Amino acid sequence: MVSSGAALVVHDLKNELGALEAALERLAAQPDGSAARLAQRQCSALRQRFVGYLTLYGHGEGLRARCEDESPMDMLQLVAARHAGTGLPARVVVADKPGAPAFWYFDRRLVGMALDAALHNALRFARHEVLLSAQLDDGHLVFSVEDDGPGLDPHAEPDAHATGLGTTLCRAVAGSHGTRRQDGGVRLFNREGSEGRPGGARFELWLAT
Amino acid sequence: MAIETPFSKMCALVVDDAPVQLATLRGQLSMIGVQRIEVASNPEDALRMAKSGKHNLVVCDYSLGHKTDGQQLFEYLRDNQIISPDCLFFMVTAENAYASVAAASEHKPDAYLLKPITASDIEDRLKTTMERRKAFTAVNAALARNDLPAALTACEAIVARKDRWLMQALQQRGQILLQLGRHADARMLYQGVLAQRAQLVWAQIGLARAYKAGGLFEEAKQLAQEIIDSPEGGRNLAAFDVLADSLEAQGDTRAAQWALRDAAMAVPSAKRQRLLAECAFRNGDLDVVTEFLGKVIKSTHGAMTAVPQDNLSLAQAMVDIGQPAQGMALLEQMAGKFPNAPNVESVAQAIRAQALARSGDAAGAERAVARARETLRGAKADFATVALAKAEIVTGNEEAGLRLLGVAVSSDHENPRVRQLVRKALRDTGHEEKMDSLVEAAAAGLQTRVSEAKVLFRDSRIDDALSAIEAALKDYPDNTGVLLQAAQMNCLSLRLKKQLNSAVVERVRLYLLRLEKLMPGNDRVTQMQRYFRETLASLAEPAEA
Repeated sequence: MVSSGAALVVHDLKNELGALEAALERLAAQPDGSAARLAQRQCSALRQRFVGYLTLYGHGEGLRARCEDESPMDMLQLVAARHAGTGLPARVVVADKPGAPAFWYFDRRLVGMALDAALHNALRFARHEVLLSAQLDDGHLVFSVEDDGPGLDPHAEPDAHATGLGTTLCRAVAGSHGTRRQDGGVRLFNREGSEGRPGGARFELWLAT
Repeated sequence: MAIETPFSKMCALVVDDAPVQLATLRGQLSMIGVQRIEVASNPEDALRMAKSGKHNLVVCDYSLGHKTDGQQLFEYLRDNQIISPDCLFFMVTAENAYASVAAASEHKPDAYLLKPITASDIEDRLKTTMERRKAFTAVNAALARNDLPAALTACEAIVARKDRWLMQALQQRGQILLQLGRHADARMLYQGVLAQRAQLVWAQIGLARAYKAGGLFEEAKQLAQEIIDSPEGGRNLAAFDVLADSLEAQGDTRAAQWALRDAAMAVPSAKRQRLLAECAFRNGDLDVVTEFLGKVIKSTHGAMTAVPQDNLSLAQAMVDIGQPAQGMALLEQMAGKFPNAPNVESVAQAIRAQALARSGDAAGAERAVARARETLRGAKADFATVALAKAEIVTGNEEAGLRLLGVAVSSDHENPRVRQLVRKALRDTGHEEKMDSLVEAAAAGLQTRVSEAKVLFRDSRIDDALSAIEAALKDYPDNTGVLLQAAQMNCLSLRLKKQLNSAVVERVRLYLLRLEKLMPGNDRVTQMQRYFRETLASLAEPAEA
């Protein structure tokens, strides 16, 4: 029997493989350099996510964070840069607001993976922009990913907005950083809209010291 | 088409035994704009290419399917200064191997890249490492010219900024404080860091080293043991070394050997097995010597990490445990393999003489010892001198042999390791009862001369005192005790005369260099270096009005 984790992975990735296949089909019919580069990036992003899932499910004993002192802002810039040029309409912006600590101890690889998954998800709903930020809250470093999409459907299952696996990955990453918060260090809620700033969903990744 | 990126001007060397991975890494480097890329599929090729000195980046897989792994290659390149200090070294490891690779490394590469690697991973790591380099430019420049006080000041400037590099600046600051002999300051720094973040391994190791440097051996041992017992500390070589050094400093050389044994079992590298064998040799535990040096010679055979001393020590141990034929066979094997190593041939002859004498070939032994005697340059406190002394004794030249052992002891009479070696040689040749008189005679002769110099000093005949200690040094140039004494007296004379006498300053500098070479990283030497620096600083200050 296939484990539920593996089934989720298959489900999560089959649509994207389909999209990549279609892109390659078009390319085969009509070769085009920039479209090929786009397809290659798509493929590379997909592979990255397989790696993420393998990291999550490939070990028997769960995730173990290897923390070093890292710059949260650099982390966000890196995640944003990785998604630049994916050809998606919404842009990714790193918020330039004070409040992020100069350094924090976390596992750059795991946190990068979690933020990639969260950003990937937000981009599916965003209209124009996804906002990345980091700040201190209650002794935790909180990474946020906000989109300006329709927000969460109050009647849907709690995880419906997010791809189930992405959230599981983020929870595991937060948990591996020793956070004792009941919600596993991950929060997903509607942000308040205001004039000039529409509502949308806000995802938070909480990391303990 | 070449795209101009921050990495366009770099010259990279990629080392991997898997052709596909090699091609992939090469492609990824070129994708991020590195234009000059060389590839090597084994450590020997990598070494040859690295010797050109033109690389700014080495990307190397940890497992090279070879006797030499990536970590050993890295340490060899750094230790022998084959790659420049500015050259970045990235180690590629499999995810499941990372923890053990990172914990067991004595020198850390600039970054670890976990497989599978993407071009953006490499780019990201390059960017961060270069930013770090930039932040530490002043520190590294000061360290490169060995100006520790300036490096410390530069570190403090980074700490004061409290930016992204705070912790790494603190780590560097701690290391410099230890190098400066300011172990109490280092201790405070590490304790402060640990109060913030108790599980930081570099701070725990630093604190253990600071304890040891300050003579707090019990505390050093306890902390080192705690690190080793922690979930990922079982391969922490730095902790094993603090433990072994503290035990040795307390005189418990057997226990030190056990600590080194645990380290060599946890990380069975040639380097660790060699350290264990050296300690076991001094302790006279020859079974351990033969077991582990046998392993070292087997694993380094034909590799760049092979050194002649392994064969010499093992051959000597074989002869000592009554297997002269095996000892000679080993010497045969190494003949001609190390043409550039000084004294190797002479020492081999000295051991051969012992082996032949033990096998009853008195004439052959006599010939061998004669050749060793003719070619061995300068008796001092080392393995070679002791080997020749033993050869002299077993070929019937007892007086000459004992005289050589006397020279060995008096060359460095306060050094316990030398005493251990000499005691073992006396025991092996049935003269152990002579040890005390030998040491006494060596120490007494020297002690008299040192005391005479001290008396002169006390009588304010400073120049006479300095001449006396210089004369003693002339006869015993490698004696660490006399060197320390001479350095101290010269410093005192500078302080008393309140004058920066450049000849004296130069002399002390020379003594300290010699000491550093004879006892690298020794805490007493570090203290003397500190005293010298403080002396210079006190003289450089303008006189109070």
